[in-house]
Amino acid sequence: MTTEPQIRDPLEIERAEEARLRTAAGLPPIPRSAGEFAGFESVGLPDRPPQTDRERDVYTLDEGEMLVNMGPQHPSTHGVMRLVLKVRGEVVVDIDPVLGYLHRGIEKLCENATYTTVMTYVDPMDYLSSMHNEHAPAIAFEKLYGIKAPKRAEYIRALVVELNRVFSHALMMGFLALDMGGLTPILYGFINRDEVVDLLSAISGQRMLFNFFRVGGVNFDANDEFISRLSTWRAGVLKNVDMNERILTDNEIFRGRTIGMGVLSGKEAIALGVTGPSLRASGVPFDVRKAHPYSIYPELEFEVITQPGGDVYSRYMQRIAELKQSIHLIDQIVDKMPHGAVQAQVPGIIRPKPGRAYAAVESPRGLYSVYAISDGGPNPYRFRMRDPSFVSLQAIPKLMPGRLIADTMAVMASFDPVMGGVDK
Amino acid sequence: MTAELLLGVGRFLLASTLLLLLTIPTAFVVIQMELKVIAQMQLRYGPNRIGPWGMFQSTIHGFKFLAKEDHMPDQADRATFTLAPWMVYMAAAMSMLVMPFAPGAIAADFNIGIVYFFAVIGLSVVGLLIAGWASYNKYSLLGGLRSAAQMVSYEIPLTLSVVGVVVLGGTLNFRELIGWQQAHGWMLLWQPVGLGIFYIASLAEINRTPFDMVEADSELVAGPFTEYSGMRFGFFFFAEYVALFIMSGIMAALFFGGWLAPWPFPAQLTGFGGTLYGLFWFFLKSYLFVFLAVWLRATLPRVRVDQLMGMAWKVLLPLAMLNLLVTATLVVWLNL
Amino acid sequence: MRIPGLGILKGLRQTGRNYWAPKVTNQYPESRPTMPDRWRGRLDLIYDPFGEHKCEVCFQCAQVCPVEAIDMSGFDSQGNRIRYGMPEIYDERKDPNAYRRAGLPAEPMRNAARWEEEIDGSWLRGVIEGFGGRPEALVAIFSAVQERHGYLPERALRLISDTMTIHWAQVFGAAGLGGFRLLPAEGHLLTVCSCAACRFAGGQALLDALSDELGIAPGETTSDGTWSLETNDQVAAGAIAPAIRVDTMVYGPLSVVQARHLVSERRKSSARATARAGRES
Repeated sequence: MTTEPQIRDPLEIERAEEARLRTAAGLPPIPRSAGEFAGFESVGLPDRPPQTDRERDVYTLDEGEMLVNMGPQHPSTHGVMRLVLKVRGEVVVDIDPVLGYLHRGIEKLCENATYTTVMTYVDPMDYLSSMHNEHAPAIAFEKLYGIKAPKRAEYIRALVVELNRVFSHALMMGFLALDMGGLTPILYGFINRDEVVDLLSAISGQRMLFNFFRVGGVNFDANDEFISRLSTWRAGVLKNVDMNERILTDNEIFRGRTIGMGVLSGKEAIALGVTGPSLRASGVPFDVRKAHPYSIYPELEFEVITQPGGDVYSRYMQRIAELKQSIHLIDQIVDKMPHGAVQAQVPGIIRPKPGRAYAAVESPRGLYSVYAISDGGPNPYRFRMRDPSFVSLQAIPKLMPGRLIADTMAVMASFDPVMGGVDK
Repeated sequence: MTAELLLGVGRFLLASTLLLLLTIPTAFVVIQMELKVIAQMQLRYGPNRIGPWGMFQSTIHGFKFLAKEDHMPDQADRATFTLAPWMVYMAAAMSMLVMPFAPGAIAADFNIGIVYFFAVIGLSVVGLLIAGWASYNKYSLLGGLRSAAQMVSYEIPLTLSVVGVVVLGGTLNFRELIGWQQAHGWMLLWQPVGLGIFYIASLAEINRTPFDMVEADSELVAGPFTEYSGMRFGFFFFAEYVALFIMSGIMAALFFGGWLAPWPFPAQLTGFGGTLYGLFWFFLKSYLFVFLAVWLRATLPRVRVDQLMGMAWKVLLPLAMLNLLVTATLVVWLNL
Repeated sequence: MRIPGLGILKGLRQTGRNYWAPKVTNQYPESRPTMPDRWRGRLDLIYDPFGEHKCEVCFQCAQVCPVEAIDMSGFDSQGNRIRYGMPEIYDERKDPNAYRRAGLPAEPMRNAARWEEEIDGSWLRGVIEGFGGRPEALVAIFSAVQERHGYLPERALRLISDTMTIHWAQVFGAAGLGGFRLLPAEGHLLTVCSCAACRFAGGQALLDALSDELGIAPGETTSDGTWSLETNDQVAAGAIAPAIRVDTMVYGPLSVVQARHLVSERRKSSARATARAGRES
């Protein structure tokens, strides 16, 4: 009689071996999971003992507390993000964000791509600001290679970047409303986005992943089609934004839920590394376009907008103000745009001298920067990106304790994180 | 005696079957309205492929539920999980029994119709609560608990606002109340504050935006319905929309004169003609209020659960009490 | 002083007005959006202003595709029909691996085993070195391989690709350029598609005509063993129904006259080739 060979989980064998060694050494057996450690089994606990004090705190439940997994598949986690909420009834006691469900290894992909093809890989990162994603590496590689883009190319860059900011902020208004149960603003926001994206496809040829920037310039010059569409768009751009404003800004329910909610003081925001509109909504006048000017921004007239409140409503109002500021900037850029070439002379395969370069741009979500190291080869030796939504997410566990589950969504939406950028 | 009893039983069976059958087209029409109206307000066309102007989209939705897999979570409590959709649906369908559609078209015209209605419509909270508990899902549980808290608290201002109407009309029968309104003018003129309280509380009672805390799709996925699929979910879904229609109809009956036209009821219209005339006005008013609810849904964000409860206990309840007090005083003082 | 309810009314007014406003949705199949001139997202081949296909069948796309997903055929500038892709791509469902993945009994592909025939690597490397490993000599190397094996085995092509560091897509494309056999000659297999689309488009008439032309019924082979006729519903050419396949090459849509002409021409040319081979030997 033969016995069936048993298939064992390799992890189980490993653990059995580890336990045998520990017993042989006279050590106490290690707890198998956070559940065993905490003395109960619950869905959502990691399958290992807690690694840090913070993790131990989160996964140790007091009487009357419960863990709720929000995500990775959840209607309002802005992509695939998982929030482990520790709740007492409806009140959030603690939050543990779990990231990495959308990790694609973009940094590593970029390190294996040539300097030109890096632009195609950074596009899908923060997919609501693809133009900004391309802007920072373009600047960094130009510094690395030691060339400058022609003036007209810089103006076209600034133009498409500001266009991108317009639809990103318009969508944020919609997402915030959607996470608070309002169905309509997101559709008006998408009307706005569709118009801008049509516009950008007229100049770049694509609607979402533009692949428009080149080292030393841009792919195409602005053609007649783009210019005529731009003027049509400019005439009616604020229509959808105004519709959203009429629905939300004065709405008593919206105000009641956002004013005084998730207040982030300027000091805390700086300590957490929050940048962009969320930081300016806390009253800190930091804008990369002013603080560390790049591209043609020194030539444009604009003020850094701030809000005093630091709450969800301020962040919402900040987005609207910046959207209008972007339209103002677009007007200036179109007025001042010079003639000339849009692409500097660069070889097919760019081999910069060994060195390192850093470039930061103001993306709709904050300071987005690229740090690239060249070893003299055709592709970057190291390519590192700082994504603002990843940093902004740190604020949520700080702000949420003591608030309700419903507010988690509103506060998260007010930081406008994009998971494609968070997980890279 | 036996013949009379048989007649009564037969009449009851006929009426209940008709009402049950009526719920399904009602749900279809209301869902279709919701799909189309919200779409129009969002600058979309909405469903327009199935049937003329997409008329049969909601019907197809209904049949789709029949065709879907009926899935039950492993650790769900089987008995209560099965029971919950029925309880919610029956609460909605049973309250149709006293709906005053038109003169001569009330299934059960008994003398405590209003009391019966508010007793039965409140039963759906039990269904939602056990659905939340039986699903073995934390979202469902939170949604079920929310439904219990919300619907029980809003029942008090809802009922108190109706008590004002009852005190004024001096009857608990819908037909007599509409008769009173024919004589004295619509209740809207007598009880404007009561109407406001009733409308807000009724929206909360049937979980409509901005008080859809129970379903709260951006927080609790789908609340107590999260684990339901197929026709079980369909029952919840239908019950929700039937309840919307019923609440609109009851509001029309209590405050807007039910089947009465805005001008005096033509005296020559009796019998079947009068019923048809009444049906027209009743359905017109009811669907106007359905339209209003859908309009609100297209516009408003959701209120938060603590604001919701605060509003019930701190605003609506004192206001309803005050309204009742003033009404009762006036009725006694002026001997209305 | 803010009057409670005014903000809600403002929103209601906006949505109420939009109820009557013109809608922005595109009713897609009826009204199609106009794409910008620079639009790069097309999924079909585009034409130049003279009405010619812009695709020049250069296989560069197949070459850069990292997962070798592109399978293409067309006519080169000389009018030769060329294609890139594994012979079994048109036969995906008959691929033994596909069958095994689906849990079905796998039947071997026709000639597939021989396509992966062992080759004499050192001899082939010698040939390549004899030509100095120059890419221009690719066709001459193919001729040598075909002379020895009677066709171009896949392994030979792979070896050529590896040794000469020419991309596989280019080697394969050159091999398909015409004049070379990619499968061993064991007579021609004529497959008439019997899928629903082809039958609707007149596949039965095509089958009758071809059966008459060759003088055999479906499933039979001609007496000299050079032509076999079969039907198969997996020629996988729905868009060009009715279609036939000669060995690995798919033709369609064909009228009865065209199909008869095609087969008779192929018969004549293979007969000529046989005669020439006989004369030469």
